[in-house]
Amino acid sequence: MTKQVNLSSVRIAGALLFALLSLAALMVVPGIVLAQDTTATGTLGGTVPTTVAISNLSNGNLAGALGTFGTLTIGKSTLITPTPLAFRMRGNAQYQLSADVTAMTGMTDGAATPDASTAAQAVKTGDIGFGFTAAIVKSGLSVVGGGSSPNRQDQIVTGYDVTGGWPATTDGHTPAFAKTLHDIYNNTQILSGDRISASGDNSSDDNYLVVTLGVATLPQYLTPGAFSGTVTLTISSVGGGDGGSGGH
Amino acid sequence: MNTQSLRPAVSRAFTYLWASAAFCAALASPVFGQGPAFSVNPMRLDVEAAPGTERTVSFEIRGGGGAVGEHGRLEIVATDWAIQEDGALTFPKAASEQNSAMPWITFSPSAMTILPGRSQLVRITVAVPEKTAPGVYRAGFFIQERASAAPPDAEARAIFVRFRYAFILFVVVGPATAEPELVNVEMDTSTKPPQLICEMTNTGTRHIRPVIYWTLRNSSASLTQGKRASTVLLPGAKLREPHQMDELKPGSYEVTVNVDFQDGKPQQSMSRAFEVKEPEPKVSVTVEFPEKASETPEPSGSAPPVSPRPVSPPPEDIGNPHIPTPLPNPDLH
Repeated sequence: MTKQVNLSSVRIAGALLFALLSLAALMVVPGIVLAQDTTATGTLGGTVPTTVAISNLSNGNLAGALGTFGTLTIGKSTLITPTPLAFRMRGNAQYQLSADVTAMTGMTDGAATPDASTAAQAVKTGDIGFGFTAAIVKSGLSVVGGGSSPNRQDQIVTGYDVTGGWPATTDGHTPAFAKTLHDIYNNTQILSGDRISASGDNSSDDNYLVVTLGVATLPQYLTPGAFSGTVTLTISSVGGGDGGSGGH
Repeated sequence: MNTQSLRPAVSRAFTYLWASAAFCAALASPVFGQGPAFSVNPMRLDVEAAPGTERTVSFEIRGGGGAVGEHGRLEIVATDWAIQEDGALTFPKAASEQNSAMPWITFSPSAMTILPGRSQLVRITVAVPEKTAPGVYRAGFFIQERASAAPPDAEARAIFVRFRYAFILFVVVGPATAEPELVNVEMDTSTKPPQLICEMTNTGTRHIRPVIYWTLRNSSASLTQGKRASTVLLPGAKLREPHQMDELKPGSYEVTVNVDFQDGKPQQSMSRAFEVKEPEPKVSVTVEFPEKASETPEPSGSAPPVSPRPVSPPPEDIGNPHIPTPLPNPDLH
């Protein structure tokens, strides 16, 4: 019996030793890799792909609401402007950002409700203003042409720049929005620019643009009902920059 | 004490040790939990193929740390793409464009589950038919989260946002050559800030990616210079892409543009003089109503006055609607 216990103890000790050695090996392997002798001859190669990325302000998945209107209480020419959505864009080539509105419920596509009409009106895409509500932030120290005195130009398509504020509402009807969700009912480019990131990756805190998009609408005596929709942002890189090539 | 009673203890010891090992390994690995829910590498490929041959290319979708909805399901949707004269990229329906490569393409997979830190290839096989004319043929793919099966909730009273990547594919059927030309240069000063518009054409059969270098001078000295990457200039296309400049004070200027078409040929150059005018003073209009009118109560039931309201431009008008009349023929240097 004593002999059996001793044998078991030996086995356990052996197993523990093996496990500890395995653990030690796991911890040491990266060190071995990093400490490869530089006198050896090897092949060094790779491809830096053309890529652009879009994320939220925590470098995570961009999802959620572009604007939440809640219940639109009718007032006196008071525009409802929900908190806009800010997000980050990175990339190593020229980029294009386009938008389209889909998945609408309680709302149809069409121009803004007219000022004077004897027909009952319901909310339409043309009643919801859409655009960039804040200047694009380019202050990252690893942004191409960025930094404290940025000289890069990111091209907001005419009409989508509402950094100067939404139009005034004067007569209780939908104000003269330069662009509305009606304008992006079909996929439409809204922003483009040259390469954004000089270096870094998707966790870097200095190599991205911050872009802010918002919506606005004026509560009116439209047909009662709730409405919602989805704006899909598409990011692509078709133009200049370090393009890829290949195939087999 | 016997071996039977010792086995659970050994098992626990291994569990703890391997959990420690996994923790250490995770620390040594790239940090998950940072980065978009997924990324696409590369987002653009040029592939050369002869008529009657087949080529296979691929792009990689890599899961990041963020949450992807619908249990990490992504879908790959085919599309065409085109570039308008103002440089705007559009996405027409798949196989609807004249130079679409989509009818020749098979790809796999069309849907996948993406996990953090894992990558998956999407393979695209292009089978170019015999007797295909030389040129550039185009295809694209949207990489997006699978839409929710549930209908959107109107009660949310919100405009939601989602995003997707567009992978761009150029299929070049040779022999193809580009024949680019800088046709005109304009400075649109009707916009604030002004916009530089370089009109370029490509009468060849291959696309090209021009780089625009510009120098701005006033009457006394050179003020600024800069460089912009133009969008791609497709075969048989004309491009009048606006490039936003810095604000300029009123005065006389000259802009010189050098375009490097990156085709191994000398740069093409052109200069233009232009004026930035003083802003027009705001005109204030005072409308005086007779006092009697303001004192007279409005009869009940009358229609309220209708104030004029600017009309929004049509939806397709996304470019620069204020392009001035073209200047006289340029002098090519």
